[in-house]
Amino acid sequence: MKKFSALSILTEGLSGNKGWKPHWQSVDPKSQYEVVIIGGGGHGLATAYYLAKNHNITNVAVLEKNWIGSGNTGRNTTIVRSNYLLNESSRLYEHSLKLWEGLSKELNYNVMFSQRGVLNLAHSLQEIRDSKRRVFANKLNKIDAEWLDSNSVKKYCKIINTSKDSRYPILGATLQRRAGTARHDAVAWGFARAASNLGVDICENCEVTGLQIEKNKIVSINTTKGNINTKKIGIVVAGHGSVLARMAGIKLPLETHTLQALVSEPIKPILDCVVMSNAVHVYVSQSDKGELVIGAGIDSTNSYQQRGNFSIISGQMGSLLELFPIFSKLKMLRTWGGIVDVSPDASPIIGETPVKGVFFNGGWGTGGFKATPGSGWVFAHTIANNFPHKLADPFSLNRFYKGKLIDEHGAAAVAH
Amino acid sequence: MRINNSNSIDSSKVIKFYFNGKIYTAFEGDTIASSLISNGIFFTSRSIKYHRPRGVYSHSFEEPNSLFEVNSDETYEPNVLSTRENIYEGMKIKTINSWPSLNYDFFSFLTLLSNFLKAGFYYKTFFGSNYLWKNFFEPFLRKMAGFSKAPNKIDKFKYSKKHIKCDVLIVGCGPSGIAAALSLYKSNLKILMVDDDSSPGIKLNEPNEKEWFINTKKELGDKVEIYTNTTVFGAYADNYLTAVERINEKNNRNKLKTRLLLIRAKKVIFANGSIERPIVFPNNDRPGIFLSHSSTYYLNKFGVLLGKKFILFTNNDFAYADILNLQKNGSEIIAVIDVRQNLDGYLPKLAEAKGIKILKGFVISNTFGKKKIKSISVTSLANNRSYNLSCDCLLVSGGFSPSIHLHSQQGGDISYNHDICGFIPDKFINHQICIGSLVGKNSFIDCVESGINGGNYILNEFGFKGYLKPDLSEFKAIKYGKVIPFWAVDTNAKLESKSFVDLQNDTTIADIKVANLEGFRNPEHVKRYTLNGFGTDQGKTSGIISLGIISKEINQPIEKLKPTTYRSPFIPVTFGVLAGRQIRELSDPIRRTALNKCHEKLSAVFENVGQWKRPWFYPKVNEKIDQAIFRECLSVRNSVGILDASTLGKIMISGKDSLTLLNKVYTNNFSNLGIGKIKYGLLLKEDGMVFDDGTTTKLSENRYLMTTTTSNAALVLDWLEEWLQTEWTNLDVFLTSVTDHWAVITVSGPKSRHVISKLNPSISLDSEDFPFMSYRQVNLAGIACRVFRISFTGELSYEINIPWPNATYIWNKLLDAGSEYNITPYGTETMHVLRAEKGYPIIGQDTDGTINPIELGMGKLLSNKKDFLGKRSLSREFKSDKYFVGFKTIDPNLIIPEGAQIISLDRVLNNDKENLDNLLINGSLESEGYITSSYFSPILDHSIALGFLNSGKEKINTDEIFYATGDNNELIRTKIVSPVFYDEKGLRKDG
Ligand SMILES: Cc1cc2nc3c(=O)[nH]c(=O)nc-3n(C[C@H](O)[C@H](O)[C@H](O)COP(=O)(O)OP(=O)(O)OC[C@H]3O[C@@H](n4cnc5c(N)ncnc54)[C@H](O)[C@@H]3O)c2cc1C
Repeated sequence: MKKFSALSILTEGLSGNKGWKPHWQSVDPKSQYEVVIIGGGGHGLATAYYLAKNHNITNVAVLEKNWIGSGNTGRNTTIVRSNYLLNESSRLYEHSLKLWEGLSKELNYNVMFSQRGVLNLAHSLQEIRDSKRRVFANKLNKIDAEWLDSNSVKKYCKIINTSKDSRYPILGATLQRRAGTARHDAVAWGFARAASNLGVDICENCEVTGLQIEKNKIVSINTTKGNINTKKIGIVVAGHGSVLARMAGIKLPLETHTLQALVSEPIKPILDCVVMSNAVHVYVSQSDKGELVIGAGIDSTNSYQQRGNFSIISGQMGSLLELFPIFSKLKMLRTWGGIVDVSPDASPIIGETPVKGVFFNGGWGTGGFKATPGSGWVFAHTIANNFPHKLADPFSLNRFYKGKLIDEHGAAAVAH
Repeated sequence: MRINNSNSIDSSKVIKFYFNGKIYTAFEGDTIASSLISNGIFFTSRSIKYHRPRGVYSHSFEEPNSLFEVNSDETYEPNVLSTRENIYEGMKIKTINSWPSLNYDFFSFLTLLSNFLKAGFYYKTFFGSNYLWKNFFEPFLRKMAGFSKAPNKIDKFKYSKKHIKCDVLIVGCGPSGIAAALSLYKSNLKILMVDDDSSPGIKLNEPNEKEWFINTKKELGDKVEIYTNTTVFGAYADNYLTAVERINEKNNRNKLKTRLLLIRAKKVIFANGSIERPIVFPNNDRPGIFLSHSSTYYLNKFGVLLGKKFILFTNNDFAYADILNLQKNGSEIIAVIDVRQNLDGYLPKLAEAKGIKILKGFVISNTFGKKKIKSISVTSLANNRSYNLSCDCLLVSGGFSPSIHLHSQQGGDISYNHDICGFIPDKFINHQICIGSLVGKNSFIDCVESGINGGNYILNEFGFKGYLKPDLSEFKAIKYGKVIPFWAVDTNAKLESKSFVDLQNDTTIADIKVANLEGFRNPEHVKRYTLNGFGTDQGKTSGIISLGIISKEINQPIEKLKPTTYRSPFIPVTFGVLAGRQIRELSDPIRRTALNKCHEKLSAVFENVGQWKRPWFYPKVNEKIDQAIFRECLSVRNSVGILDASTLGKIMISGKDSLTLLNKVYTNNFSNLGIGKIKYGLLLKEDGMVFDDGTTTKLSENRYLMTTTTSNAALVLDWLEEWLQTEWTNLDVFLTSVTDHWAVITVSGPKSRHVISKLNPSISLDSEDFPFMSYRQVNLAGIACRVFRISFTGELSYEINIPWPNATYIWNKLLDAGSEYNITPYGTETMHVLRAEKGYPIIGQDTDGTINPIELGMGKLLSNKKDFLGKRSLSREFKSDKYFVGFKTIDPNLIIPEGAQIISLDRVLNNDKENLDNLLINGSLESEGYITSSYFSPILDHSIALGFLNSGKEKINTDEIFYATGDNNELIRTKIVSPVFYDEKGLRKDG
């Protein structure tokens, strides 16, 4: 692997930029692997990387039906935070956040993790209660969390409208200063490069079309690039979790929806933090390129189309302009949708399945990007040891049978 | 340079405008671009990355270069595209991305560093230190990026929305669109046409074609509705198309800026044409270089010539029409550089016949001129020999790419067409067709025929017979020579860094090559890595070229590659128009109760509860919130209070299976509920968690009135409907929301009976005749009301349902009747305190969707005689032991913050300095519970709180001390008690 640094840019620049190497080797799959990861999104690639890095398992393939990062990894609004309410969630996401803090160096790839702070606004007395409960819970878990009243919100984010006579006035917000955003593509590419460098095969344009199960054990995988024998697979396909699980005869409690987002035309820096308002369904930050990145509420119909309905986009604009009246003349440049799998308690499902050798990691719904390194870390551990990592354990599939739900969404009502 | 006055501008109206502070003139009807060009201004901008001089490049939405800031007061607009915006008096146009001035730009040295700033350079560095990234590198990168400044003032423009339904929507009013309309207009179908331009057809050059176009439009008359200046930007499922109409400044009395058109069409005809693309060559970005067809546009529409001495660089015949048009208007044509060796088409021959020099098999190998093109180098493909030619305007045409965007937005298939070297729609989407140059038709006559046929086809679809077969013999079918695929001129590595594919993002051939070297070969990856196609023009000109370059690099035919996905919007659309009038107080509907005026008169302070405005409390003069609530609480407890409870959800349930429904959704059994009786019930979701609560009254046989919490009113109705419509379809039940049919006034307190009886002394209100949890139809002050004896305060209470229009009348009557008891209006806050004193949970405040009935202390409401929604989930293995309890602080005056977490320590804190932060030094702390409601109780003269605690049931009334987290990290000592703080025996409800 060619090490990236200012020096490499300099020497390559001087010699005509002819010596750059592919960041990852995109190869056709071999006929046998120790572990096969299905899904070349951030989570799948991170899993492969940590399998190789932490567990020394390098006979691994990542199968991606399109190009890596083509799923939700390359479509999300990139909010990274760990200030979740419930212990199970906040500990998992905090583990992930700690990994984010060293990720660029770890991968020798600038994933542009930008700890610019995330505000979660409260617009009603109930939201104040919920927010404070979350802040207090975070404090007990030693996760940085602050409650700001509306004046302090205004101080932290000068352009926000805290006027008392707005439709749903901002009454306060929680702030996590260590939270922020990252460059989504770079996360996929950086993990792919690092994994590829450790010997992992990255197979693009390779769609899994069937899973062969014998005696309740995985034996091989059918793909558009041939069959692969393996004893262990990790399914990490975001919006297609139920599709893949069904190939193994497993029915998962997942609902699939379209989630849309949009960007504005690039403008000079105006918004230095991330603002999330659950009550009015607006999530906004400004990318390093200058675009406002705005997330919408979920499309209510079930769908596998990466396209949503216009009413979701136009419907949120009034709310956005309530928060930021000065954005009215900015222009929407691009909208898109991703497919998200939502579990009954809106928390992910990580771990073993009823079929031996089939491991599942999905159901991250609208908010799994922030978990990318942490999810890969605990999933790799689970696959390598045939035993759930302790942070992943509460998220196992059997929680739905046992009834030990982790209803973060119900409790904290914060998406993304 | 303006040579004549076309009819698109009004030369009697001279307009003064400013460009970078200097004053210029133009005419009404001019765009910013035509105004600048007519004043000889070609160097208008700097590019984003290398700050290279740039100018207007095209004439419409494909424009990559000339974005401006307009004005600086409240009419300021960012990122204004010069080719789309009309000029107006006093307009102040300012260049972006240059400092200190357009001419002398500090950052123009960056072009020298281009070798170090290749695609993706920022992924490879800046990550040595988190601190430097956060405080230096990232802020710097951010500052360099972005175009205009964001506005800093409130938008004064107005926007609106219009919903349109039509039979046929024709997108595009060029020859093919107009021809389609011609086929259709005699039917009585409702036809809507939209065109992006203000003068569709303006690019037609041949007199007879122009005449046909004008006459046909006249013939269509008012049978078709035409929206010009209107761009369809989105195509969604089921022929739902979204367009934005730019309102003409001239007759715009309402100061409407733009309007959103939301169109639902039975059939859609896409006739939205194609976009000219350039050919890439070294230094192809200088001011004075234009897309070829733009020369015709500026000339025909504004009477503006782009120069005096023209050179054309082309790979196709169509561009010859532009150069012939220029020649006809007196311009000097230096040469045509045609990459093709053999030219057998009609137009090149005509050009040659008219004395135009054509260099066949030549390419442009470089251009010169610092801030405006001066000359070019041409090189023969045959023998590599080069020489220079001078010019002041260079036109470029690489052929036309169909505007497949709207078709593709819907997931429509596309395929590569070798005749035009571009992608065209393949299979049409249901109820849509594509016609004209969008499907690769070239000549006027082909487009018209394609339009006529398309129109006839749609006519047929609607069941009409009789086709239009117009005589088009007067139009000669021109023979066009073949377009050859030619995307970029081969050159050396150095000049590849100056060969711009995406002018807006400064993406060069060299960037795409580096990307390829680094393994980014899928067009989507190339786009993301090099930013090619990411600009405000969304790659309208650059997309296909980068595909051509990639195809060559990876040695795969272009037809095997897939262009990057097109997404809505086709053109950038302002947030303002998307929001339309749904801003500020209209951003979400406000719901007010029938008694709103009464509350205002009493100076109520309102609280948002869902969409409702509810009185929160009623301060008297100089009274603070705490004092008001203190007073309100004690009045209810000691005498009588009055509350507007209209917002509670009310659902009428009728039909012979009503009871079955109730028993399926409520956890408790409703079978034995008699007529006129009321029962409290809990609704669970499938996961067994409490979703809502309320009372249901049996009004008569098979008629029930269900109440819900205010916030969940709509959700509960939806929820019931969902079950009825999807799972229990055999039930005979009808649901009707009657929330705002009946206003609700609650009269509560020991004196409430006295107050009510004054409104109708003839009824007996004592508890024997009208017991708790029963309902009566009663006449009060002459109005037929429904009175329910339920209580959320624990006091004797009557909930009076009054027909909405009579609410104020009854409210005033009750105030009069109660004046001798000092009847006190109370708001939601007092209601919350009073119910908390009684330990009644509020669903949505004390519960959060993760609480089951057992944890809530309502296990006895779970029927074991019947099934109900959520029951199965409750039988799962895992049982939590958290429990709904009361918290009584050791210090009666300390109020625990709502949301506080509860911790338990294995020792008792010594002093108040031992706060949360100190404890956390030794590691994280386990939460034992949390507070959901917390108040100071006036009647108890003690702070009280409700919440959940692990093993809570066992802790009630023990001596164990727990600690609640305070707002300032202090820890508040508390004991655990029953959630019922007051009147534990429940004696007060009967007065
Ligand atoms: C609009 C939007 C906004 C979001 N915003 C945020 C946010 O702000 N913060 C946050 O934390 N999260 C956010 N999310 C969620 C987040 O994007 C996802 O949870 C996360 O990226 C999932 O990563 P992944 O690697 O599991 O999935 P993906 O990146 O979707 O990867 C799964 C891959 O599997 C591939 N695949 C599918 N089927 C097959 C098959 N049969 N064979 C082979 N490969 C297959 C897919 O092509 C895909 O590339 C958002 C999501 C969306 C859609």
